[in-house]
Amino acid sequence: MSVSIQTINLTKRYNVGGKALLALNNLNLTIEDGDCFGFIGPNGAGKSTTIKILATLLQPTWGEARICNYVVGYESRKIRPLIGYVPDSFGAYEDMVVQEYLEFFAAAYDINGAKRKQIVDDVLNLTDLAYKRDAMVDSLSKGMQQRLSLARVLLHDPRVLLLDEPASGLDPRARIEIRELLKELKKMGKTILISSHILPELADLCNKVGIIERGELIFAGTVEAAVRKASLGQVLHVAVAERLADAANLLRATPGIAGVAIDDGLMHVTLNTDVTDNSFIAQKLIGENFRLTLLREEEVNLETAFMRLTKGIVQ
Amino acid sequence: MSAANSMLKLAPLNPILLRVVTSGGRRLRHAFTRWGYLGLLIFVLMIALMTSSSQAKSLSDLAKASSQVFSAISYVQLGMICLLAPVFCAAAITQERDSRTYNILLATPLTNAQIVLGSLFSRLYYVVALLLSGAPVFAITLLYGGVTASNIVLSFSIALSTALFTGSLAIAIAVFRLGSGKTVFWFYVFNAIYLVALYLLDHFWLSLDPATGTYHTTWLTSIHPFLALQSVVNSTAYPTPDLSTLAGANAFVRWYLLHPAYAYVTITTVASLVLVVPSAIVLRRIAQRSEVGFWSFFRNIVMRGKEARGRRARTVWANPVAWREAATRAGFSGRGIARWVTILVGTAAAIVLLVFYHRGDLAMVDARRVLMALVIVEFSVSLLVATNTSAAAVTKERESQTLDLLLVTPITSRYYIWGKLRGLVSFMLPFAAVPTITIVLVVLYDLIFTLRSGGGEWVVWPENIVAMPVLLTSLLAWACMLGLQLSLKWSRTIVAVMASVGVLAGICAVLGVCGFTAASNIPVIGVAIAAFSPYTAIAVMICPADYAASAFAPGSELTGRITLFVAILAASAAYCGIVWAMYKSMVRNFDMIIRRQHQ
Repeated sequence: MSVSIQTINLTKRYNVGGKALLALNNLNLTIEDGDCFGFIGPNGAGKSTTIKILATLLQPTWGEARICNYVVGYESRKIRPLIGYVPDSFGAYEDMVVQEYLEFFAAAYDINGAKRKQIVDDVLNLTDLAYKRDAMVDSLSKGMQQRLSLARVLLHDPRVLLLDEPASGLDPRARIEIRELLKELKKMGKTILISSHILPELADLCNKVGIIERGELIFAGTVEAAVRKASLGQVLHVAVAERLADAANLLRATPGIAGVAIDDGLMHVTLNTDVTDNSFIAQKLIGENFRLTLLREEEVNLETAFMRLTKGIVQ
Repeated sequence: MSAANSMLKLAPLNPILLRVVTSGGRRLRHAFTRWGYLGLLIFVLMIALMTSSSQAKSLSDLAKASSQVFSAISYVQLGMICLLAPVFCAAAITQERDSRTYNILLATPLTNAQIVLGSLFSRLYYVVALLLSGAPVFAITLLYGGVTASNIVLSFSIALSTALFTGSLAIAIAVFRLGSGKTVFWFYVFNAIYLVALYLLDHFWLSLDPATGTYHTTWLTSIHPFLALQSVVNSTAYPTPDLSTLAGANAFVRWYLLHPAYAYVTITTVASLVLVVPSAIVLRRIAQRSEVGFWSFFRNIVMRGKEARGRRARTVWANPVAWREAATRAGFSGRGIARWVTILVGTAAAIVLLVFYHRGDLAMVDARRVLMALVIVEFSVSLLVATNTSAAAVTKERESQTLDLLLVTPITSRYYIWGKLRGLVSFMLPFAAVPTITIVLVVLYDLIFTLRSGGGEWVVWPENIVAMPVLLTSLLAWACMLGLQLSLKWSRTIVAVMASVGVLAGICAVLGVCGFTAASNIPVIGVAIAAFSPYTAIAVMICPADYAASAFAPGSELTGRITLFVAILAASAAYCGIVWAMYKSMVRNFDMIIRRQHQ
């Protein structure tokens, strides 16, 4: 598979009030053709900066970003027809209706004449906005505006979509509609880089994720790999019928256990990262005549993986 | 205790004012403004002292010179206040609504009066600081004699009351929600038209006594800051009317006409109170209403909700940037209507002028002066609209976050800027046509009535049909380019618009001073120099005898006309050259400037 997006030691330094702020620190990222890559990180982690560099809006301070093997900054003119960028806020022109808005951007991509009308009709149908073609853009709901944003980036049939929190601030229905639309685009073979805070939806949509914190990529790979990585040092919820404190002390003294916390009649047992088999806990407790009433692994999904892999530190 | 506390919070301990005084005083930009203002006053003082003291032979000469210096710096002070007070106060119109701190303020225990006065005084604080920084310069004129302390107090009072009225008007517009971003511009335009139109009306029509040939103050003097100031600093050339002419008038009218400066200060102060008091009463009541402003309400009635429902799409041009500038700005919006109203009003005014002239109610000289005033007002409106529209062109895209969307398309900076310029010129052409239509109507009148009847004098020379549109179009293109340049530089629309208008006014003023001086003092070359100053060129084209008498004296009129025509074509070419150079520079630096703003 060929690589659609690649960053090599990508570094971006902002000057905020005379002080240097390191937004990206040697970010190395590779996204292959047809991937749907979820970009996750706390606010201020550097997600939007990365997307803006890839969208040719920002120049990196150091390092290199490539889209379809074209270098951002040097070959931006070749990159622009290949990408579709949806920013985190909807840019609306006043006094424009939906069709004019799309025709305006189609003209910006040098799509003119009958072809333009045809393409605008097609994307309106694809995004279910055909019935709103004569509506004023600024009168649309936020969900419709996001669909219109997606319609806009599809006008020139780009290979790569850069979506910066497209579901932010949307109600559940609008979020689901956007997700379904993105699944359609994924099926069409588009390479999608999407940043979002709604992790269950990313897990549902993306085949790969990248977790970024303080401008550094701390994980990149499949969703399953992220969960696997987060599962190391797993947490177990354990309950015994009586002598809870004694049981906790017993487990604390047992090799392979990193820590035990008691909360609301339950023990939260954290295993060492090199321990994959947790059956010894039950054996130990039963062997010491404790009546074991509960032994459950904490469920690990993308959300818990994110919480475990990041420290919640922002710049 | 609590009543005293409330009273103190109205002004000296008002938290809004305190915040501005403590934080604003540290801002370098404001310090630079004050230094610039003081520097300008000192510069005017030095120049005036140097030119007048070299001719002074006695103490009375020195006193006379000091009086002239006082007059010059008083005008500069008032001019600066008229220019800067709207800049500092106009932001109140939108900032109070846009800023999220406004709602937080409304939720505090501060009373309506404390909020309104806090907003007003915090904006006036900069203007008052500016005025006070110039006080030592005025004190110097006292040393030479010829200027009384009461004159200085009156000069300051006129400037201060002007600033107070401007601030009160801005606050009232903000409180009653009559304004939006566009209102800031019209606020400025209204100020400019009011000052120019009333001044011209007074000087060319009302203040001249035809029987004696002398000037005197009129009923307009008390409602115009510059005329009121003129009655103070130049009371011999612009005296109040003779008491005997006011025998039948009541006490108020007599006081109004005999003490125009006092009347101006009183009227503006009372008007400020009339604006501020209701604002303080209804502030929260209006804030609790829906967000719909007066104009939105009006538009909804006119449009009957069509706008909210939508409309059929228009055809987008191949250059979408040009289409956006030309078509969407000229749609059914305030500016779309304003274009056609300006054309209709301009044409109607020209026809009315010709009717008066045809009936013999206006002499040739007066007809020319009124025509000049008309063309100057029409041109000023076009120039301001061009500057405002172009200054908002890039900043608005930045504010509505559509600029990034365009920057990721294959559109190049050349294509983008050319599209902006093309669209702006398309939008501005009807505005630019208004003064040309006025001149064409007058020339047509001359051709049909005056010259057909066996000779006579042209009201306006026919070559102006060519010279006027060529000059005005190139000047409007220059204003558009200037606005675009500053729109690219600044990130906020209001700052870009104010900066553009300020720079344009400054350039026109400097060129005007040079142009008028050259035209009246240097016979032929002066006319050539005058052609490069927008307002002097218009004045000399229409009223040559008033502004370049020596160049158009009998016998040398043809030389003067040819010189003027050629110089205007050269000036137009020069302005086009500047536009081209600015365009090239913008194209070259566009990416760098935009990228720097992203850093």
